[in-house]
Amino acid sequence: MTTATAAELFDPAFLRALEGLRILARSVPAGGRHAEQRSRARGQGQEFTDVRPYVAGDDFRTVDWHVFLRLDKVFVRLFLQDEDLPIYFLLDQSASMARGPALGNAPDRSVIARRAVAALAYVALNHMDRIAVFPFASEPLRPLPGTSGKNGFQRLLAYLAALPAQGSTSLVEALQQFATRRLRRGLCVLVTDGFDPRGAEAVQKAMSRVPHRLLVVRPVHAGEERPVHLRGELRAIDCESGEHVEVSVDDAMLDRYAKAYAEFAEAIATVAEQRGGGCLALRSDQPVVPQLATLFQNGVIQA
Amino acid sequence: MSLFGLAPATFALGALLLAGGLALLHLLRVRLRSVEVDTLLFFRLAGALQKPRVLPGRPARWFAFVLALLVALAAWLAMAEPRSGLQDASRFLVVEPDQQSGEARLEQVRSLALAGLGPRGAILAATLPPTLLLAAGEPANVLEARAAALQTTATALGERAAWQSIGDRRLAGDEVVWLGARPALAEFPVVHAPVARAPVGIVRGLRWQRAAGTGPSLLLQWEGDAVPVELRVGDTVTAAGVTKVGAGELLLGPVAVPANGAPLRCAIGTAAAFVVPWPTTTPLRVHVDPSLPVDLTIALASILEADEELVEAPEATAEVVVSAQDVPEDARPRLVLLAGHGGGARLAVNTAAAPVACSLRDRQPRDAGALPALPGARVWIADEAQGGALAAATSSTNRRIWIVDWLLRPRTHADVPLLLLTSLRALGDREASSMVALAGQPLAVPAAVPAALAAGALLPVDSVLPLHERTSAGLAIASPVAAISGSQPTLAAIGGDGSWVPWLLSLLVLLLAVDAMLFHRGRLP
Repeated sequence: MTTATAAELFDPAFLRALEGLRILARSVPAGGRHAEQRSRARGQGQEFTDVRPYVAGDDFRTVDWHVFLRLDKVFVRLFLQDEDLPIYFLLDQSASMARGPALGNAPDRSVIARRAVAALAYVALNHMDRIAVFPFASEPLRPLPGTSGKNGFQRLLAYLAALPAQGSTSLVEALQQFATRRLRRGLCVLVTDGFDPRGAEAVQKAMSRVPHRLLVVRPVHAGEERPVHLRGELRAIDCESGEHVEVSVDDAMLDRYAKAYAEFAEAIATVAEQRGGGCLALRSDQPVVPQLATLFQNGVIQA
Repeated sequence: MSLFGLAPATFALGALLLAGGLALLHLLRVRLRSVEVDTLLFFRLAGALQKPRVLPGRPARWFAFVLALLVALAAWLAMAEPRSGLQDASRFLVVEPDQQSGEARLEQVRSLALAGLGPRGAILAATLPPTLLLAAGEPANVLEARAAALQTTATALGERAAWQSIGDRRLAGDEVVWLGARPALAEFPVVHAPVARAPVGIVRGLRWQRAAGTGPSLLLQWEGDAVPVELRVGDTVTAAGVTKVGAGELLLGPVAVPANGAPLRCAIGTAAAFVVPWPTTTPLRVHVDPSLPVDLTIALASILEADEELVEAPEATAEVVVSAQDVPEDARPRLVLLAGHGGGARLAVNTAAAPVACSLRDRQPRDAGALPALPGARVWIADEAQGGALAAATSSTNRRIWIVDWLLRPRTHADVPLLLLTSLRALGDREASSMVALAGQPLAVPAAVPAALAAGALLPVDSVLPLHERTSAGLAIASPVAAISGSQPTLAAIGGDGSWVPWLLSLLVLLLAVDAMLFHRGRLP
């Protein structure tokens, strides 16, 4: 079990680096709270979109008096409604996420994952969007319900810092359960190493059923795609299940291992691209924010 | 290529054991390293069912096996000290340790070592187990240190073990030399260099002599290198010694004459051994004239009683007569004890090796030129104070010895019995009379050395050396040391050549470097 203090996870410099970033939804389904995301709903936004004849009950402040003087008919101006974007963080907290790199002293994946969640949540909360965190391991953990506003960030930090990392990875079940939730359409940020024992195909299938845009963030350690330190005759023990295989690791085996890893990563990235969010392999030995910034084009994620 | 450090069979056996051991190690189930990993997913996807090697089964890592085998075999081969040119002739020496003749024998061995042992040769001491004194390739000065530490004596078992240890490494054409007083064991043929041998010494004289009350002693006059000399009756060494370098004498004995008359063998160095006839043991019949003074009669009686080779006999049957007057018409040897002369200091002349010398050699030798001429006689002792009066003399014609009375005074002097005894034995040919010399002259060495012997011919082992009366044997003794060094100039220098060990060690380092490189590159588990 791995927990960390909020100060360990985030520092002011980390947060300052996130200023200026924004997650901008291409479209926001109606029904949300007033915020900064443009929705398809007509409402009290800033952006003019159309006019229509006045009907009883319309707000007089929306009457277009210039049209009335020219045409002697009463029209009201219509504006796009600005609403919030719901962002759901699906955070993997299995035991494999709590493992650091085999070589070096980079932080473990869980720390990197929580920093990524905090960073993206900070950007979202800065723009009045709504976030929720659904952690999981072998089964769903206690979620952080929908939170908005800058004040919610502190709650998020405390929540993330207290999250344990333990148990096996049940990514497929977590995705399936998340897909069945009746949630307002938004952006799902899946933060996981993806090491579900059922393999990439099952994970792909479960990801494709998530009814949200899907952004995948995979915390990775340097060199994990080709673990040369494992050369030799070894009994490889799964850190989550305790299962083991006896394997003779040589160059050929490492080549096959790297090939399998690459195919797995490619499969995850492909589904994420298809789901409109993209995929980012977040290196544990490098700062989080610059890597996350690559997701933002001109400071904006088009979610 | 030949192996220097190991026998081929030993090497082959070791190589097979190494290969077998390595194969077994590669077949055995390895000790697995337990490692906790993030996921087994990719191992399974990569086909992790490739198990480590198990027994029984074929080695999963042929390349690693071959590399390890090469490293092990290279090290084993380096231990075997392979060398090229080892087929060249070599020399093996088996030395019989002998404390008494150690120096002389060591000198021989040293000479042989310096002459070269060839690429495979060695010098062994016939101890049990055999002691390596010098191996080819070792500096020659090691020999002395090892020989000095050698305390054990030779045994037949040790000699046999030495021959057997040589047998593994000996090739056709090699030379095996036995350096010992006794012959080598018959079942191990010893190869000697069949070449002319340079004489290293000559026996100038070889004769028996006897002191009163003791057995006979063999006096060897030697001219040449220092060599050990042994007298053996059967397998028992009855006397031994080492001759001095150059002209010198060696007294061996006294020797107890065996009752069965077993032959006495004399071995000079390692080159010559021969049978020496025992001295004549017939008692010398001596008649003492009753006209002699009583005290002299008593002294003579005690001498005759003490020396078993002297017996008193009537005048008619006596071989030697002791009297106060000379009887010229009696041709028998006669000891004449003259009375009433002298009174001056006694004088000894050249007494080297003469039996009487022990009592007279503290006297100053003087010039005997002033003595009156006595035809056919040799002055033995002169009286300076009497103006050259004859004190004692021998005659070569009538076999006479004159001794003046004052030489025998006082009668209790220790010299008196010796002087009388020596005189009697000389007259009876029981002593070598050739040691008697003119005053002031060096000892006259008989020059009766046969030309054939002096030319360097080696006396055959166990031949009989004839000892003629009053003559000295001349015998040239040759040494195989000089013979081998002169006859085998093609023998390689000590240590041989063409050692492969440096190359093998270089190969070993290279193989280890390849192993390390492949390991770091992940080519080896």
